[in-house]
Order: sequence, then structure tokens, then C-alpha cells
Amino acid sequence: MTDHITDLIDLYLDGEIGSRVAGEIDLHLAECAECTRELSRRRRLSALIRSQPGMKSRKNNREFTEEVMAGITHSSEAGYENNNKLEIAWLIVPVFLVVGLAFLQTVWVQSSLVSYVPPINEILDPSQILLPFSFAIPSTFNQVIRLLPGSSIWSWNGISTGILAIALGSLYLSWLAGWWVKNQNHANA
Amino acid sequence: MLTAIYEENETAVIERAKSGDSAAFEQIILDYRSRLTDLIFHLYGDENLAEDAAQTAFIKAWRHLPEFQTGRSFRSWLFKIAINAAIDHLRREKPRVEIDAILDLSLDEHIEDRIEDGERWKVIRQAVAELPDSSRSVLILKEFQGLRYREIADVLDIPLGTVMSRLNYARKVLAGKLMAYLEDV
Repeated sequence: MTDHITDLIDLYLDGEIGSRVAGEIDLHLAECAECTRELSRRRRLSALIRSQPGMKSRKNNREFTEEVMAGITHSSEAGYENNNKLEIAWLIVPVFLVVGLAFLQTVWVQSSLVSYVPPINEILDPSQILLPFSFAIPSTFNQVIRLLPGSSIWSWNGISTGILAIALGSLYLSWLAGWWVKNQNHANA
Repeated sequence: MLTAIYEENETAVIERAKSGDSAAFEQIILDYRSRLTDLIFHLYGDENLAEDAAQTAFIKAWRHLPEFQTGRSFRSWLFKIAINAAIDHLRREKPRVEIDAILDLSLDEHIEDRIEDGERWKVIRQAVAELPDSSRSVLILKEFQGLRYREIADVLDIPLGTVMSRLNYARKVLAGKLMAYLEDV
């Protein structure tokens, strides 16, 4: 080995090379004053850096440990509460959508049924039952729906199907979000 | 031999802590407390940050201890958590105190009174503090914590070759800046 071992000095100094290469470096150092000087300089530098004092803590071990254990208790309680709040918050929107959809569907079905019921004077023979006047049950909801632009039974079905899809999708997302909230700390370890 | 016995005992303590034994975890805190605070203190030069980040690191370590894989380096795992905790603290506690002020404060409070050549410590710490963050981290993990290159690579999430090059750079720069003191050691 005739070249200088500058690139290997750190590895040699830190004991990060195998015994065979270390033996070769030993042989080189026995012959090379320049590399020996550089190695010695690096050793002195390491010793100088390591000789710096560490930090003097203001807390004794007992205080420090007690604070950590108190922090563990507190963080687990706080984390549990926060997780519950987040899970509930994520459930509110899809639940609201599902309830809203159920309400609209009920209204739509009822108003449709009512709109197809013929006036009562067509069902009943007025000659059989004496009524002071004939009337038809107004299908208010159906009339309102018919006033909406582009409204028809098919378009209304499309809207309700869309809402149902969004609601079910939101429920699935909320389940995923709840799972993520529970496991988010694990990913940050 | 002693190291092997210590590591065997440590593995047993970690296993007990993993199963929820808080007394075992308190033992881990006692074993690693000064190493974590020293690590953060040497990295960022702030005693309060070192205490807070070390406590946060232990709290996180307890929470995630069941995920720690036996056989891996526990100190690398813990140091990584501690450095991340310190970075989180620094992000939250803006504006950050200037490094010069930290060095002067630390020397005034703890070092100059006790060490005759306080000026030398100040120069050394200043030289270390002036290194780029990436090189300083590698140097401190090597020199103060005695980690192997592989462990440093794990803690900092960098390739092994980068550990070597950064360490070499840091030592070269420091050797140049501290030439006057190297003859005295």
C-alpha cells in the first residue's frame, strides 16, 4: 500500500472497517509519517470534542421521571378525547346526508302517491254517499317538485340516487377517517 | 463482555416495558435521560429545549414502544424520536433564540464557573455550532453518543455513504478551526 489512506482514516479511527483492511492500514501507518500525523490529529480532535461537558439539568431524576409519567397519563387521556371528538365530527355529515335522503324519499313517495290518486268524487259515487261538494286532495309536494326546472320523475330519481351515493360514500370515508384517527400516532413513531 | 450483559439486561427491560410495565420504562428513562438531553443540548445549544424535547421523546417512546422491533438498535430508535421531538418544539417555539446568545448563556450559567479554560469550551462549541446542521448531527451522534455509522444512518434516515462524507467534512472543518487547541490535548 503506497498511496495515502486519507479516505480511510475516519473508518479506521471509528473502528468501522474489518480486521484485514485494518491490518493493511497498520502496515501503511508504520511506514507513512504523513498518514500517522493525520490520524493522530483526528484522534486529538475527537478527544477535544468529547471532552466538552454535558448539560447540567435543573431537575433531578425523580422530578424528571415523574413529569414524564404524568405526561404519559395526560397525553393518553387527551388523545382518547380528541380521537372521540374527531370520530363523531366525521360521522355527522354522512349521517345528516342519510337522514336527509330518507326524508326526501319519503316526501317524494308520498307526494307521488297522492298525485296519482284520482279525485274522491271519481272513486265514490256521489249518488251513494251524499257529500255537500266534490274535491280532490291536493298534491302539494308533487306540484312543488314539478315547478323545479327540469323536474320529472326520472330526474328526481337521478338526484336521489346521487344523494344516496354521496351519503354511502361519505359513510365509507368517515369509517376510513375514524380508522386513520385511531392509528395516526402509530404512523408518526 | 460488560456491554453484552448490559445489552441483554436492556433487552429484558425493554420487553417488560413493551408489555406495559411502567417501572421498567422508568428504568429506561433513568438510563437514557442524560444521553437524550445531552444530544439535544449539543445539537441545538438550548437547555430548556433539551429538557422539554427529552420528556416529549420519552412520552412518545412509551406510546410507540409496542411497535419497536426487538433486535433493532433501541438507542437509534430513541434518538430519532428525540431529534424529531426537538425539531417539533423548535417549530412551535418561534422565534428561535440566536445560537450565540445560547452559547453565552450556557457558558455563563454552568461552564465558566467550573472550568478554568472556559474560553476554550466556548470556541469549540462555537465551531461545532457553526457547522451545517446535517454535518453537526452526524458529528454529535458519533462523538458524543458513540453511535456506529449504521445507527447514525438509521437515526437521520440517510445513506451510509452520506454519514461518512458528512463526518469527514465536519472533522476537516473543525480540525482547521481548532488547530490551535489540538496540540494541547
